Amino acid sequence: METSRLLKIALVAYTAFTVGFFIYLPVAVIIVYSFNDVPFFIPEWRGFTLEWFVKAFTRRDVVTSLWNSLYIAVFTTAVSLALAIPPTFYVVRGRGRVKDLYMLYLMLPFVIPWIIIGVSLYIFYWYLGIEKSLLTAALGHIVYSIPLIVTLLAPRLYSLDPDIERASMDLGATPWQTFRYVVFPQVFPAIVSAAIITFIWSFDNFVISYYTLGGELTWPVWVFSVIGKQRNIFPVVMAVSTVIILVSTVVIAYIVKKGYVDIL
Amino acid sequence: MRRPTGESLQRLRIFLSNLPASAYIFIMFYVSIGILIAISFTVPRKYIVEWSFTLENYVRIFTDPRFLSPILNTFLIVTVATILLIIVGFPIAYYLARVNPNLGIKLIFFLIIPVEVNYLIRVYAWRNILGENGFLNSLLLSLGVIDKPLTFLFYSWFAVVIVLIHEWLPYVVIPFYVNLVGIPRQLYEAAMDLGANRWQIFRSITLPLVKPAVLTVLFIVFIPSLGEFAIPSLVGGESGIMLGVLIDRYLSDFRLAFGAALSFILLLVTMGLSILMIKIFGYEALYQR
Amino acid sequence: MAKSADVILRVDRVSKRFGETWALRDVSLDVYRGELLVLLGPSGSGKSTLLRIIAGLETATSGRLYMDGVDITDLPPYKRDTSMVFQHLALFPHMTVYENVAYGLKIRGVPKEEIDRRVDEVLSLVRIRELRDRKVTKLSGGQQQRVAIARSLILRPKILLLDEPLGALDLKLRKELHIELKRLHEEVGNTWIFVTHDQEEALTLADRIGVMNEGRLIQVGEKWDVYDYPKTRFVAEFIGETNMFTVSIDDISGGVATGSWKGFRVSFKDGGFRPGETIYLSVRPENLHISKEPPRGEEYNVFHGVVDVEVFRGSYVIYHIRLDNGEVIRVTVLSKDAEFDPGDRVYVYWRFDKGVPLRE
Repeated sequence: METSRLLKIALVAYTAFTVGFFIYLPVAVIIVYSFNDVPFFIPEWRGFTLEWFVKAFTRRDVVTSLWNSLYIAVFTTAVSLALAIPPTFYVVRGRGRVKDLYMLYLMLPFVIPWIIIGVSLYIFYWYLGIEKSLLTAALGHIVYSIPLIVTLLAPRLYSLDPDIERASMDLGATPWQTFRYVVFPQVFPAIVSAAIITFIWSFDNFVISYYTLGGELTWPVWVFSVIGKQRNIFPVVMAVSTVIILVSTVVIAYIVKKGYVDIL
Repeated sequence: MRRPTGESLQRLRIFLSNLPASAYIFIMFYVSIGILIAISFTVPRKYIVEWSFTLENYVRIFTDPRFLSPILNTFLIVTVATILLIIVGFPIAYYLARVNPNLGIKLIFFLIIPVEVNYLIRVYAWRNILGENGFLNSLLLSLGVIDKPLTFLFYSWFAVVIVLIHEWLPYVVIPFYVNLVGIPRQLYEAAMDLGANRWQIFRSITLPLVKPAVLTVLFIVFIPSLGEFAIPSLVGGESGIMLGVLIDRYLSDFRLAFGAALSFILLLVTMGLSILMIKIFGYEALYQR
Repeated sequence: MAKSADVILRVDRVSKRFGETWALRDVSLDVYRGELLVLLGPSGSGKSTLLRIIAGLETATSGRLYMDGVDITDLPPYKRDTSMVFQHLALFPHMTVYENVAYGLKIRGVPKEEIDRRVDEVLSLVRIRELRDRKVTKLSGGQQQRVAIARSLILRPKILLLDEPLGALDLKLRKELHIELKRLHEEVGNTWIFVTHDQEEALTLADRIGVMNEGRLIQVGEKWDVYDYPKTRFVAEFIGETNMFTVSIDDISGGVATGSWKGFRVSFKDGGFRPGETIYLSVRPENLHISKEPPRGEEYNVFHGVVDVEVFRGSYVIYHIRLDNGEVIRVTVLSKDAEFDPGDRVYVYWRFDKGVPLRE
């Protein structure tokens, strides 16, 4: 049909334009201009250089902030996975009003703006006289990542057949053995993808870190502290971003290709 | 097989395994929010908290236009951005889901890649596109469409809206995509068979069935954006000021009672809107995915 | 049942190709006004494709369709006077029973009062009037079934197309609905084309049956004819149970052909065969008889063997008889006459004219 073809062309063009402009343009700018031979950020090409890459990874503040982000992301992911898996089972398997209320209790941090978590912890730490550090920031991240993991894992758990667990117990396995040998292998891909998403979220989180960090900064908070204030820092930031996008794309593509995770 | 204590043992086990997460959320979230709320009702003092109950903070917020207008501005910007996001994102998802489903999954993967660059940096990169000497202005100048650079493009509410669209577009496309892919093809065929044309099918079948995705988008885009402060403080200028920027200003200035009051208002508003949205869309929309 | 030879739909040499595979090959079919035609075949036989082409949901690669003499090959589905009941029903999940059923009329801009009246009418017809305002997702399988049929019937289509609509239901419910569908077809009086892979369903519902395999329409006819006089081995084996003998003919005389099957002599009605030809002889288990004594008369084929297995089926019994040549054949006997036990030596016989010789 004629209209159908027209519609299709229109949709392709629309998708290409909107995705290109809204999603890719700024990223393309970052990647391209990280090689631009100008010590600040201008929309003008003045020759190719790798100087900013060298500078980026020899600057102590840059490298430290990246390590700090990594540390927080790993800590957050590990702790919140351990904390969040039992409630996920309860949310999926439980019945009745108590469960519904519990779910609301658990999910509330997930559905409010991050700034509220950040600000309330800022006041909380201050009020209790707790000195802020990387650890306090990670503890802040966990508040959000517990419900995040529950949300990510629950759909997968819904599709598990509880009879398989009953069969396992019937064959003499303890609850722990049942979890270890029967449930865990089935939910492993979902756990991996939940872990990856949590890790990326935590690595990249700005708002909660901003209010809960001490003197040591994470990568996003460091970027915020220098962006727009030091004119000559942005090429370095772009160089780091280029590296991050390359590394993470390769890693994610590898993980997806290996079939460790099920996207969507 | 079941011992007499089996059931209560089971309950105990569930209770104990849920305890760490529950306790954690209780202390780190509910208690700290409780302190925040309590402080918001104390006398506004710099650096200290004076524990005497007052509504002074709230009275000031709701009477002083310096506070009211950023609050209204926040709603305006986020509402406009969300509507535009749905308008922009839905056809993309529709294309990915309906026209070429095989390609769809791969393209979704490509949508996610840019998110790997921290959003502050991407936000800042928009300066090169929308700024006074940015690409857009140079393009329009060289085409002769304008004769001096447009200044409303950057440090403005316009820039905030554009950057919000950039930031959230993948998170709008994906729920719509998943939702659309989940609608059985037979439903469209049935509607066609019953006499509906393309447009009628779209209106009577597709649109009502993507309601769950709209709800998802409101929850993962609209609500969090209400608290956004990095984007407006980086690209918003004066016209793009938002509640988050205001909260941060008072907190940085260590006027905690005031910052807490603004935060509590934001919390109430988001919770109120969440309940309203669930009321409008129906609770089951959350499960219908 | 008296059927006029009034053709409502003519399918003329329709073929359909998906990529490299032919889903339909040169199918021609006349559908008569008011009949209930069942298209029967295994999955992948092309029956659903044919139905979808009639509905306009697929376009034929070649061939034409005529409804009441008018060429409808290129009409879109919404301009055809057909309506389809889908395999998984395809009820609109966001609508109530009323909204689902009213959908087609609403799309056509029929005034509200008339829609209301017709919805009530058709819901009464399928006996679910009390469910009018329920959400379709909250209904049982059988109830959803009725909604799907009502949604199509309300448009008073010339032809109602049903694509294995009972596939997802359990056996008991299916049997109930078979009776219900028969009644409905009688009451509404329009033409139905029903697709199924279940031969029992086909025999229960059909006026006529069209048997399909590998994209071809192999045989169409009154259901008794198709059952009693299958045209090919495939039809004989797909509809009902049968015993199939591969016979090489060595003598034809007086309208009777005779040949041998693994050491036994077998005779049957000549169908224009030649000596030396090999044919397949289909004999239904209910046309075989068993006794301890050999039968009298010349008009029988007689085998000798031992009762191997006895399968009790309530009103009848199936005996598996191991013949002296080592082959096993099945014989159906009414339970009241089932006086044999495994191990009994018996004669198995049937009248010459009860065997159906088939060339392919």
